[in-house]
Amino acid sequence: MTITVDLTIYPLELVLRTCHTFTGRCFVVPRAAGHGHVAVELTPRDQDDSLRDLAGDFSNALLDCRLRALIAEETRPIRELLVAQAFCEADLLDRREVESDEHADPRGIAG
Amino acid sequence: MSAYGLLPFRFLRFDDARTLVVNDVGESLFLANDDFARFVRHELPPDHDAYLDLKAGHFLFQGDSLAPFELLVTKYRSKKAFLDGFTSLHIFVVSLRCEHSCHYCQVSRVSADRRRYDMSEETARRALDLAFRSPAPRLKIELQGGEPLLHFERVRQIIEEAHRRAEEEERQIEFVVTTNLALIDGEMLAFFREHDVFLSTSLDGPAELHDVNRPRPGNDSHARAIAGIHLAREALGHDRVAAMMTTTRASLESPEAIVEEYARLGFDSIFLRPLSPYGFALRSVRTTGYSMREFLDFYVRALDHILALNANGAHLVESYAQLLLTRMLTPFSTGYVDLQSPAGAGIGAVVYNYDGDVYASDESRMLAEMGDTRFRLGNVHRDTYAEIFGGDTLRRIVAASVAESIPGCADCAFVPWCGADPVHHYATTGDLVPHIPTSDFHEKHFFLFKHLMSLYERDATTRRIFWAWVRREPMRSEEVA
Repeated sequence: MTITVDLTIYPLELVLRTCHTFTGRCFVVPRAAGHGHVAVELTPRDQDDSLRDLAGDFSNALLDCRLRALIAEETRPIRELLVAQAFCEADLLDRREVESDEHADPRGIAG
Repeated sequence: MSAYGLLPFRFLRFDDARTLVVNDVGESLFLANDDFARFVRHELPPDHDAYLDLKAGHFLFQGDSLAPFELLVTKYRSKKAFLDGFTSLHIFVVSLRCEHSCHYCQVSRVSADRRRYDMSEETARRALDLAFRSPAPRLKIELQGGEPLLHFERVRQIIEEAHRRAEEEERQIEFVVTTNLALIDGEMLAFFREHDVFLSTSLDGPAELHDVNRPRPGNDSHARAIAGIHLAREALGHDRVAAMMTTTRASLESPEAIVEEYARLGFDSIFLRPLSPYGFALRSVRTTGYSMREFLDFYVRALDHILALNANGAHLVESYAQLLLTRMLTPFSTGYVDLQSPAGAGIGAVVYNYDGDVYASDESRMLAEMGDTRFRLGNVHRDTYAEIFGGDTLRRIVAASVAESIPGCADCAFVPWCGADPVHHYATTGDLVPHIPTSDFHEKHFFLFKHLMSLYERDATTRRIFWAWVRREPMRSEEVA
């Protein structure tokens, strides 16, 4: 079974990441399909694995993979700061805004 | 769009209706799929129940307060506190000799008359020098074999010298002797009592199963273990003896009988362990082995029986479930070397073999007995502390075992509760970094986390039992159904 994925919706990195999660269930072969598409050939290891379920699961996994990437990107600066601060003696948290007032203008809004 | 920000978390489609979210410090929450979709689109209104739960659980923040960040930092530091102090568990293999010939034994062993496999006095002294170089404020010395009681002279020397040095340096120290108890006598018990030694023994279940799994001359392993347990409890105290079981193919049909044997003998814990893929265990896999799926079916039946006993007022903990639940339900650090990120091999525990070779873990030593010395860190006679504990071998192990960076683990909702075991991965796949989609390690832990979470959700009695296990005390009388 082959699923064609539009790379303008799902970057190649996310397609390959999703392919990796299916390598326990299938033999997976991604191929360039031209015009900004990639074709993913899925061959179930278990002959009883329904192709309909497989196609649906792969499509849903692709969506969740994209969502995970969006969440990871949005929270990345905080995650890095938390881990760094947890292992660091110095105070890395930026306290200028919480310990400041409008006269100090910590965001430089007044220019 | 609501004016809130997301804090770092991962998610899992737990079932058709719910999504489980787990943040970086292991706090978790179930959300209806619709609520989850609104949450990640920043569309949850501040008066929504899910919003309030997510805010309290540190999944979102609003405003300029640094409080949620400071709390998360503190919890993250607590979760990773097992890294504090570096190597605290020092395992001494005082002899490879053993009078048992268990098919599944992880330890390559030789017959009881070959003393060249005994640790020498000088090797023990040098190993102790290294152990006391560790910055850990609390040291645990574990003596094992083979059967350590076959070389009791060395057990005595190590415990006496370690005790004296700990007093001189004002450090806390504890001792564990891992023994089959077949050879224990009054003199040994008096010594263990004097030095407050904890005993860990093997009990595979009822006599017929235990004796099949653990053959010895006279075929009386079970009888000797039971007699030894009674003697040791009398001499050291009831709670100074623990037992562990190893699951063989013969065990798979008898989970309830195994649990009943532990309950009958008054144990308050049982550790349901699968076979290890090392040493003799690997060579005898055809006769004793089984798939991970078969082990998990066995585990589920045994755990159900344990929970039923607890619901009727007994206090019997399954040790692995207790470890996982402590991670799932609390921010506390649990230093289990085979399930940490980074792994505890070398930085949490280290093994001094009878010949002075130093290994990152017991499993590393077993691989070496099979001819693969990849995880040998050095030798107590030839190498310095810095060379052993700061060398390339240990650095490679640590670098390969940060679960948060392993493909397949990095996105897993369970990773804040989980860990890596590069020695296991190497032994089973030839690679320090596992291929998660086909990994038995992943299959086991993904299933267990999900199963325990399902049980926790199932009913109030199970929740009370699990919390009693996490608190490490029996359920209060008013909690028993």
